[in-house]
Amino acid sequence: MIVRQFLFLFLVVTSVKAVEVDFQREVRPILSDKCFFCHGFDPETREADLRLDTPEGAYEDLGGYAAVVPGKVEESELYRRITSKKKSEIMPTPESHKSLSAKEIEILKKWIEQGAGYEEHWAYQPVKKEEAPEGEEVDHFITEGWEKSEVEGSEQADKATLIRRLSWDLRGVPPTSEETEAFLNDSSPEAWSAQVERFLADPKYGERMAVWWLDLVRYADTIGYHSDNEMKVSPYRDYVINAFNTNKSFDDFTIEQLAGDLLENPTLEQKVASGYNRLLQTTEEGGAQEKEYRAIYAADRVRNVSEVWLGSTIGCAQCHDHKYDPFTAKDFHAMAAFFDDLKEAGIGKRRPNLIVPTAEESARVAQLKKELESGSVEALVKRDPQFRAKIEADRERWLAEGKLIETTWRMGSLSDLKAPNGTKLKIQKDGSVLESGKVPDQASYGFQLRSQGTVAAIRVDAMTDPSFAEPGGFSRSNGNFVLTGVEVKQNDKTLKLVKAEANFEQKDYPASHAIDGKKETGWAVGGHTREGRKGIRQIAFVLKEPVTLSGEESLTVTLHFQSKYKGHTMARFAVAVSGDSKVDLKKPVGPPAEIMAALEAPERSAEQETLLRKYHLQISPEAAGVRNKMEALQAELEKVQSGMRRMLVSEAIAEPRVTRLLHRGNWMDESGEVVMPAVPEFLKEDTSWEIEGRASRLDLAKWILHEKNPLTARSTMNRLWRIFFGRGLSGNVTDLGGQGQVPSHPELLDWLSVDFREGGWDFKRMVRKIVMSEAYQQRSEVDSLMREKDPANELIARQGRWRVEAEFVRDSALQLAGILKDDELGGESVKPYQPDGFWQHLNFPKRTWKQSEGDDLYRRSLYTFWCRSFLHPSMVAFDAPSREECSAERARSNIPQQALAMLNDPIFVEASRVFGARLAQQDGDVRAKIAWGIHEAFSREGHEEEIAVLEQIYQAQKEKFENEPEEAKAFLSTGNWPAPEGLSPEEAAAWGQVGRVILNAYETTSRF
Amino acid sequence: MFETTNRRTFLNQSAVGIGALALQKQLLAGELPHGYHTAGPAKAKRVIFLCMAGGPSHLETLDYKPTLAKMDGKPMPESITKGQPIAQLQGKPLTCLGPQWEFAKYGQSGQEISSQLPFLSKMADDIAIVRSMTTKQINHDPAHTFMNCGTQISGRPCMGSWIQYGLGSETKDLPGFVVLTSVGGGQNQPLASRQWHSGFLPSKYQGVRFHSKGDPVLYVGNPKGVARGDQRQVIDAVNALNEIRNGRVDDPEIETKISQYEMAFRMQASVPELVDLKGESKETLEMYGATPGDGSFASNCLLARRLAERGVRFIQLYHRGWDHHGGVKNGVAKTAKLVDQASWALVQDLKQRGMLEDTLVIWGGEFGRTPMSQGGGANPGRDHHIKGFSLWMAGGGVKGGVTYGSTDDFGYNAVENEVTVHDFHATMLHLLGIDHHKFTYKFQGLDMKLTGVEGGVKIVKDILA
Repeated sequence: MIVRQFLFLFLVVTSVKAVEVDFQREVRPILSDKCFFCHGFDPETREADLRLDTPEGAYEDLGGYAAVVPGKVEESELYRRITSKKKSEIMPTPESHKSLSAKEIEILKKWIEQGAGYEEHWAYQPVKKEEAPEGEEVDHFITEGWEKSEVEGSEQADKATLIRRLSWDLRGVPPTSEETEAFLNDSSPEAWSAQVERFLADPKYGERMAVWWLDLVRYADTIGYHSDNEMKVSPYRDYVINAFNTNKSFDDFTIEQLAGDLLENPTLEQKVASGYNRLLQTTEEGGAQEKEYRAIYAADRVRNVSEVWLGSTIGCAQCHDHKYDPFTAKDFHAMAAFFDDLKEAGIGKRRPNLIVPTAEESARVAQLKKELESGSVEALVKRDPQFRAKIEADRERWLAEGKLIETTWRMGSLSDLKAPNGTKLKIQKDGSVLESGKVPDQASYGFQLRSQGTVAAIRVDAMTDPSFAEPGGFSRSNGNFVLTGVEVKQNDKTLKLVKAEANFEQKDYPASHAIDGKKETGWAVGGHTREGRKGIRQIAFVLKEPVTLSGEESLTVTLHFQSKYKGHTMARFAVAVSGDSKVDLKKPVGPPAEIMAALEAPERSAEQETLLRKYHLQISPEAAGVRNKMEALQAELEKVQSGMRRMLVSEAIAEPRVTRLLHRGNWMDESGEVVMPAVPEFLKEDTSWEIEGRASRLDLAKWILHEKNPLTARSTMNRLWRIFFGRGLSGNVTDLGGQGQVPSHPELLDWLSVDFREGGWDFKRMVRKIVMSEAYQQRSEVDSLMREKDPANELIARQGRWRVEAEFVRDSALQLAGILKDDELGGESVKPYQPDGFWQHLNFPKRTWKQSEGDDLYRRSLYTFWCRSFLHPSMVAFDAPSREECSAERARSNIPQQALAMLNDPIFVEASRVFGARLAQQDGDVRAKIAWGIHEAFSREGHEEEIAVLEQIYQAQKEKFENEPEEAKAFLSTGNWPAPEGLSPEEAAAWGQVGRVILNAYETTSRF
Repeated sequence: MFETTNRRTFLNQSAVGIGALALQKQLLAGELPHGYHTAGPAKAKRVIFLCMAGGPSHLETLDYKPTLAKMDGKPMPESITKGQPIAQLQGKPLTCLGPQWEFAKYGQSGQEISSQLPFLSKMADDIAIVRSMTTKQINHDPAHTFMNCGTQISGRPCMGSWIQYGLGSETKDLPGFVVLTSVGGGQNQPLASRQWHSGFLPSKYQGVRFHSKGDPVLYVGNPKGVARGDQRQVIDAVNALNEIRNGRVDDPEIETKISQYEMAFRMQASVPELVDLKGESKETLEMYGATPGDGSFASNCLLARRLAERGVRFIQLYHRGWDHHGGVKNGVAKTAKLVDQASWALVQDLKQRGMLEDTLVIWGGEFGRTPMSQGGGANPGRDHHIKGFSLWMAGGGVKGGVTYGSTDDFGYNAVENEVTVHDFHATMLHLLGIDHHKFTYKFQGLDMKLTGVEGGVKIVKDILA
């Protein structure tokens, strides 16, 4: 340890006497914490009409006296009141339960004596870039601080510590032994920078940084409130990983998340990014009030966007002007108004509105479509003369026999489709009808039905379509529909239906309910459940009296979907008729009436010839092989399409909702003025905010990135710094505002902020600046003197040390075991082991955790399904946040639940025993194997005493398992990973216990 | 003296990395957190909160309304309901539904209690009934959050965490804040873990949920093939490695880690011992109506007593079964039957063991139910209601045989002595010897309080013994 010398103590306590008081660092925090609640920004709570947040307010003549008279303590009412002994006079008032310490009074006294100068709060001042020697900027500012405080930094940490630290910070896992060895053996001057580049280029970098960002934007897989059902957003998570790996610039990153959908011809990636706006908590709770939840969502978004990008708690201004910062209630609502264009249900299911194919899926779809086109019967007829000849011959045969075709069902021809406003019905190639446009709450679908001949029964087939949000479903809402009524008319005369029969009926929703004349009841098919989504759902209605239609005549049919469940319509259906009153749904559907007519026509028109030619291709046995192939391709196409990931993204509505200033945040009060989207008033001038017309989310994003915006870069760099030192340059990484903390190194924070922007908002560039510094490479040990003098390490005269994040605790265990599945990035969230019944309190519907299989059990923990109301218990134990709100600073607790999880959670037991098996398989004797294990876990050589501890438990446990071989087998049965081959169970179990000890050692999961 | 002890406990327990260092600095700099204890001594040492989740109907349990009976079937006067938040009855005709069960006066105090709570009526003189509760949230999830945290915003600590933070733990072998759950008698509304979350307080203050199936506390059981002696060996080895490491780097986090492994090991024994009801007499089991291991409210009440005996500070029992949107008459009867006897037994048991005087028992839900009928027909129900509802408290410095506050003739609005959730919290804290005004925690630069920042919060003095 190097010797430190203190000429005087750093702490402000003792520095008051000699030097000028520092307004930002010393005075303002006192005024803010002790005075502004009643004498600050918020006029509603301002007492005695006195404000102390501005010099004008403080110096104002209050009738022969003033609160603050610069230079004159005795004349300043403020000083008199804070030193008064009278209960009725003393400030802060006893009711406020705040008081000033002698030290604080002394600071305020000095401040008045020295002229009571004011400065704008540091975080709202323009960012300034001070000169610094190139390449040494970080160290320049830090050593300046050391010099001022007369301390010296710590010496450089040893290389093994450095690579381990860097690996945790950049990848969220420790280095492997091989990586450590290679680095130790690289004695070139560029060894460190080469190592930095290697880790920056490792895809694990993106996963690690994503954990940081996902906490901020409160990414989760469930909606949060009440039922806490799943919402599909995981492609957004992958976007974030990818953005860090490809080093997407922070301005693009910002714009795409807030307004990707508003960009011109947005790419799929940009649309995915706009999923950011859908990450908030939402509800489906019956009885919840739409207006109330709209207000809740608005506040949620304002809180998040301001905390994520501005490091500001504008959310506090929901009910009143901010007490400590110049944000007003109007600013809050104006910020909320930016998001009023988002298409979103107030209450209800969050249905995916974007299909996100992988590159392979897109390629496969294109390929399949191409094959379907070029391989179709029509194409072959054109291309292949031999094939054409065969078909021609078969057509002759068919035309001759055609008249004899006998079928029960014949396809109906539909026209004049009618649907509610905003919803479209379109006839498809196969004659079916497809719903598109707005999903109606309730609807009645009408059409004209033509089919020459007798009509004794009408049949409706409900079909699925790959465009539906719920794969295999029958509606575009949750997959189910309720057919509440059917009307059939001939020339305005209603034809009576006497019977309804279906091939599937949901409990309590039989076919008969479709024709019982009641609006509340209907036929449904369980399409909202996985089991209910099979095949085609068919229903047939029998007419009381059959009718016979000529070629021109038609029936008017209306299908009613008037259930209380919204969006429960058939979104794709086909209609057929039969001349037979005896319904058999299993019989196939034959040619439509017009084909029959054409076949039977004594003289065919040209159109009829074409019609027959086309139709024949669909039924010709000569083309069966080709058709089968095409059907298989079509089926594959549909399978690929329905297997594609779906997600929630931003979608703008033409007419944005109206935001009103809600008095005290009360959503039931509609008397407030209408507010248009705008940025906070006090920042408008500096950032030249001028927008013609209604400002959009895109304008907001650009304003956030405006070069004169003092908050964005500062907040982001402050948080980035925390990743690498364990503490922000300003100690409060959540809030840079008045109640935050003045930075320890304001010039450094500013330098980083400006450089971040000027360097093209380049994250990796800034990471390099930080980790290449000498400050970063210091040792983390602290002697008792420094621990006492600078406990929070504000001088950065040493590195930080801490237990790593929840995800990395598990990831590193899996890596040590060699079972971390890390060769693929992204994908749907996975469900590793979780105790049974952990979700028992979830309802609507009740559900269980369906454990993943195979490799999915061993993916990095950022892919674990993030259930907001019941996050995985081991993640919770290690302080993973629920992600209900922005979380800029995870707690670093040290609680018994962590010990219980590491000791007993099956994943850690499994990782321990597999890691143990790796030890066993190393060369050498027991001690050599143990030494290898220590090196792997701690990135350093083991000490003699450590090896002895582990050797002892190995021997003791080996003996135990040899005496109780059944116990060894039981121990090895935890987790799905197979027990090692070539090792006796007793041996493997004993090594497993050694593995447990190493995994549980604090050093394994600590970064220092 | 209390003050000093408390600070020391605080320091010792606060090994939370940089947070701890910051605190240390605070202490060194002479900026001790302000004392937040009441002038007088604490009456209660611990709280058992019997949370009747779903929202019990006050009109069929604790708040008798003869006028409402006369109005049965008639329209609810619009003057009362206009502009009020309404849940599932939005846009529907509002018709009065009279009390579905008769009430009678019980005990020397003559407290009015429903016929469906026969056991409760036996101890009418032990309890204080508050009939003028109000809350701000009309749906289950936010209403629970409001009842627990004093705000519906997620990420704030619940009362159990606050109390842990304020008073520390009295047990070395068990968590200081335990949550137990049971179901039955009505629709089970979901219950999120945020209800026992420590929010911005250190996570060691979060509630630990006990389970009736599998490990009673998650991961408290040893892995397969590992006996307690083996676990001891493993922990000894882990601690030995940590000691060696600490000898080299001198890190307080490692010291804490070692003590937490010891705590975990003790919990591995104390938790199974706690939930093992073998030692309880037949009479006791019968008094509660409990069958060991059935996960019922009755078993949980018995466990609550055992937890209280062992020094657990805050014990919260959720019974999910009071959401009677339909069939409120039979629903209340059914759910009441599942909780009435055991609630009574718990109070009696605490009393006979001399623990009632310093244990505050609270019985109540996240809100009440409408005087208006929901669903109509032969089995009408009641919707969520926030403007007036009831709860009872016993022990821990609460006066027995008192009814406090009242609602209007319909049981709609709390019209006399309204008790808000914040008032309720302030009163509870007061009984525990904490001045809610001074009981703050810095978060995002603000002095956060369980009782909010709005002011006007009052302690319900009239029910204090």
